Amino acid sequence: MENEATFIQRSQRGDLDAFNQLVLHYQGQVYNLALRMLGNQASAADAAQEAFISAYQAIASFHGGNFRSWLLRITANACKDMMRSARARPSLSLESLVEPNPGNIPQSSAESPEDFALRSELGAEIQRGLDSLPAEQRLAVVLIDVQGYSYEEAAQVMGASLGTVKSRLSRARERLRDYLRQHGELLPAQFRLEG
Amino acid sequence: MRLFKANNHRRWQRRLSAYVDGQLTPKEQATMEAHLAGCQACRHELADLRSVVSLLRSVPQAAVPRSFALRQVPPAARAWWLRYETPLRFATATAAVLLVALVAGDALLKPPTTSLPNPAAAPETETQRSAAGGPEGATATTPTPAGGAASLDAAPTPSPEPPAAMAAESEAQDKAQEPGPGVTSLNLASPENGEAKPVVAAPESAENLLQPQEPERNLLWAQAVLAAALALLLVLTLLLRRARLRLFRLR
Repeated sequence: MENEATFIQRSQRGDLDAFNQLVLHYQGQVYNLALRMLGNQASAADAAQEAFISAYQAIASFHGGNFRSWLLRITANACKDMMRSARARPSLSLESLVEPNPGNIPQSSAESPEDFALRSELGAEIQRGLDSLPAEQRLAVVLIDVQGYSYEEAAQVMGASLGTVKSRLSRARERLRDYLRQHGELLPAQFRLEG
Repeated sequence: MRLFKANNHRRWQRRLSAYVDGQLTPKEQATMEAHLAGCQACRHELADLRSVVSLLRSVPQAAVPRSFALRQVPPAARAWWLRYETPLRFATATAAVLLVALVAGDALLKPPTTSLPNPAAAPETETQRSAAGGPEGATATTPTPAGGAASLDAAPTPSPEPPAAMAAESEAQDKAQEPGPGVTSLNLASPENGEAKPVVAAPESAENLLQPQEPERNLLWAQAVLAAALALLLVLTLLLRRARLRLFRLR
């Protein structure tokens, strides 16, 4: 982001407008991370909002480095808190049921309704697979495979070493593979696993 | 044997994820490719793994449902105390350095303590002094007869000696027992002839030496205050850090 350092400095001096420029730039990434971690829009929106509030409160303690990693780390922690709360209150776990079209995926004009439905259902199936993973493995696979961040950046967000990131990612992929093998009939032909 | 082969195979499979992302070293990659050439099971695993990764990468980015811009500063929530964390750390470090410097400086610059006289020898000295009478007055720190070391256990009975012999003995003792470097000795001028002779410190004076002088007392106070301040700063720093970590959950 251009002039990111300037916006950060102004935010640290209490300039809310400058901070909101950072929000507008990063809210897509923050929201998508929360969405893939929590599996539904309402929880993801809450987590994203809380992450930005926490970031504004703590921006005085940001001393340089990768601002995106710093922000995503706050987001990941906000998601983990919500997951812990949901586990502590099982009656609310119904909210974590994956929505048919999580995240308002728009239908392309060139896409048939059947393809759109298939793509939506695929997304839902993958989300159910992600939901079956432990939090740390889920975070690793969402950061690297879904969001496309590098191993190094994922390590910063997770506060872990590269070796730990590789290990968690490997285990997450194996578990997802096993999950998708069990539900393979729902997957498009090109994605069906041999098993 | 079969278990060994299964464990060995498992080792290869664990590296497939890193292999897919090009995270192996060139040597590891070459080894993996050589293994894959001869292992159908691992090739199947690799194909499945690539499918899973491809699936995950095809998940589209969702549009944000609304703007998350903050409309106003969160009420009473701004962690104003965070800005003091760095100055507090600096103050703690400075206090620690000062305390170390004070203690080390005190230890290095304080002169070594004077060897105190044997209290049993003091009356003997006074007795000798009174017996000598005359201008010579006091003897050296530890009264030793010329040519031999004094036995501390044997307190020689004071007996009057001729003044000339006493003077010679006194001079010899003076020369033999000139205070060395760092040894404090008191030089008192004899009232009769003005000569300065080292004298033995009376027990009362020795006791005074044992009590810290005023500057030393001030130094001790300074060290105590600095240590207390350092302890307080450390506690505050740890509390602030803990609060920041809780806000951030950066554990």
